[in-house]
Amino acid sequence: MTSVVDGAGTPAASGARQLNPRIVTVWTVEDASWSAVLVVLVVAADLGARVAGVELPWPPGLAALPVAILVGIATWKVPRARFRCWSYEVAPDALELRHGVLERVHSAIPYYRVQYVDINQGPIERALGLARLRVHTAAASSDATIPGIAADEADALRQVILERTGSGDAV
Amino acid sequence: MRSEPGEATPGPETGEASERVEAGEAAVGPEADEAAARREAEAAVVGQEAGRTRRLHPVSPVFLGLREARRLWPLALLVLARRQAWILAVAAAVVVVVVGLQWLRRTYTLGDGVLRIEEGVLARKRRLLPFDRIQQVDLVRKPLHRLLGVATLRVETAGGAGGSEADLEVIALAEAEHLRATLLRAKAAAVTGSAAPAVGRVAGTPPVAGTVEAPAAPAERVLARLPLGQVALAGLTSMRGLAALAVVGYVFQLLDEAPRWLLDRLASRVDPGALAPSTAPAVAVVGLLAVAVLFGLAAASSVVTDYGFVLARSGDNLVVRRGLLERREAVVPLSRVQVVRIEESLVRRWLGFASVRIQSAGQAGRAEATASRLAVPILPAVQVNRLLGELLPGAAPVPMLLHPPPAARRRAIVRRVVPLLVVVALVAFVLWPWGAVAVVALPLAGLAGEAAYRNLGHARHGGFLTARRGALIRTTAVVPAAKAQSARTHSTLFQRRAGLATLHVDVAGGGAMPQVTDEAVATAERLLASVVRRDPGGPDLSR
Repeated sequence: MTSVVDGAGTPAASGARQLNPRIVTVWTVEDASWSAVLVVLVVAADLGARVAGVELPWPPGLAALPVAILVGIATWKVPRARFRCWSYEVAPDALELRHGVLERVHSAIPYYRVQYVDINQGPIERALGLARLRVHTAAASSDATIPGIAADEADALRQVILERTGSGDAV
Repeated sequence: MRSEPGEATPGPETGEASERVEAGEAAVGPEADEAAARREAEAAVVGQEAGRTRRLHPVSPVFLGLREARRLWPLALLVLARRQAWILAVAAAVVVVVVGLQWLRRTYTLGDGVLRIEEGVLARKRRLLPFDRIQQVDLVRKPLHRLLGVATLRVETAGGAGGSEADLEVIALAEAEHLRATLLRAKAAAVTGSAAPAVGRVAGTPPVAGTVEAPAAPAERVLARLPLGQVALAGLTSMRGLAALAVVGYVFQLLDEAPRWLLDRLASRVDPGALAPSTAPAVAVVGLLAVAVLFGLAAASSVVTDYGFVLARSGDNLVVRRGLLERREAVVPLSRVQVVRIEESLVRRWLGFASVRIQSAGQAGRAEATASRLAVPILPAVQVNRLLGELLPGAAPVPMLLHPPPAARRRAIVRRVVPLLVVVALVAFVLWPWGAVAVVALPLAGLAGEAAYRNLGHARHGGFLTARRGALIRTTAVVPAAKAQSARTHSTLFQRRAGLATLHVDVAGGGAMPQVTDEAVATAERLLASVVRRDPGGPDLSR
């Protein structure tokens, strides 16, 4: 899996960093669980319709097969595409994030606007030694979450960010 | 799920990490010295507590458990009603174990310039609140707190999410009071860079002091005053008024369709009571009456809320007074104004009026954060620039706006016409042949797209970004770049094909965020860079 990601990584602008490739595993697992739910729902609908007396031309449960194939492909492809599109940069005066597969987003958060920093880890992320770093500004709409950085890197990064915040209430 | 108290201490990694990083990033420069000085000052304040990781009071799980219980009581009732008390016992045991684990995992640490809170059993969360961002520290003591001799410590910043950023529920009272004092001192030290004790300093007293206390002291200068007629007009041209207008249109259509002889007969009738409302003219009359009532209501409700509207400047505050039955007053510090939004609906543009909304960041930590949006409901268009200049000195007049590139026109039209094409095709197919009439919607959609494009524009002037969009309600948002908390460019698949992007500017306090729609990617990126610079004034960089 790592080879897929490493090979496809975009050579981003100088100073831009990629996420940790292990995040692809996290996303794949997350997406797979949603896909599984979807497939189960389709199976349930299929069987439910039969119980309700609807005549369906295919064998029971077979409707789930094409759905399973489609979401299977998506579950494999989407996290990798998302990884390729993700990069962040600790620029001199702002944290810059670039991400999004269909809708590309480039967001810049000046350090002196940072109010506080969250470092979160879900169970899967913890197992893989990853963390999510989220920077909060006074604006609720700021887009400043970096997923998938190594836990110790997250600590170093928040240190840099908090060093550069300066003082005052930043509103 | 281990839980030694030492586990969470920042000890080894924090100090080393900062040095490693500073060595790697040369750009820190004087700020690092500044930060180091700040840290020293704090160390003097925070003292021996620095770096000590602490748990909440051992009765904390009681409060956590009670909160869970409050959430689960309907379920508990259901279980009890079915006489299956053992389920309840199991659930209670689970809750006890869970809140116990939560308590074990929940720690807080002062030091290294931050209040650090860790929590989470399966998913781990760490929050780092720099001392100098703390706006307010409150102790909450409800009856149960008093009974147990504890308090909830509530720390608030100017963070945009609303609510407090850190609830330490619960801490022994003495410790909570001590912690509160320490946090306030640390904040003061971090802000001033000295360890001067700030006894009696109230947390969260914002730099804009004296907000509400002196309505009489500073001389007031009226910025906008609405005569009764304009207040009524505001109601007539509001959405409610426009709804009434739509009914008028419908009624006139009915009148046109009514046969001539019916109208003649209506004119010859002396007694309107004899009219059965089943005839077209009768419907028209009843309809017109209804419209008059609707218009009347629209105007009246506007008069009730905005009668005697006055927007004034009083010292460093904006004051709005309005209301017929109940005089309302709202005060917003001028320095908290984030965005001024000039809204001109089609109808108001024809009549030469506009309305102005003032979006401001609420006082941090106050519930009214969302309520701090002022609006001038209606204003003669010629006065808009004068008012804008008062609200945001240097921003007026609204400059000539740059239009986005021609690709934006294509996109504005295509994105309206193409989806409609699908709908029209469907309607035409289903309702053939009469459904084909739906085709007339297509050129209308095209015109709407053209109008939308013509109303797009932006300017980067002085320290301001002005962005306009909207055809039916043309909205011109003026935001001081110094108020931008962050900024984003978004570019969808379709926008990328056309080389376009939309810039969003995030400001404090919520509400609609200003956006520059469908600009060339390079322009949007330049605007982004110029808006988030520390010194965002300066020349127009957008083209």
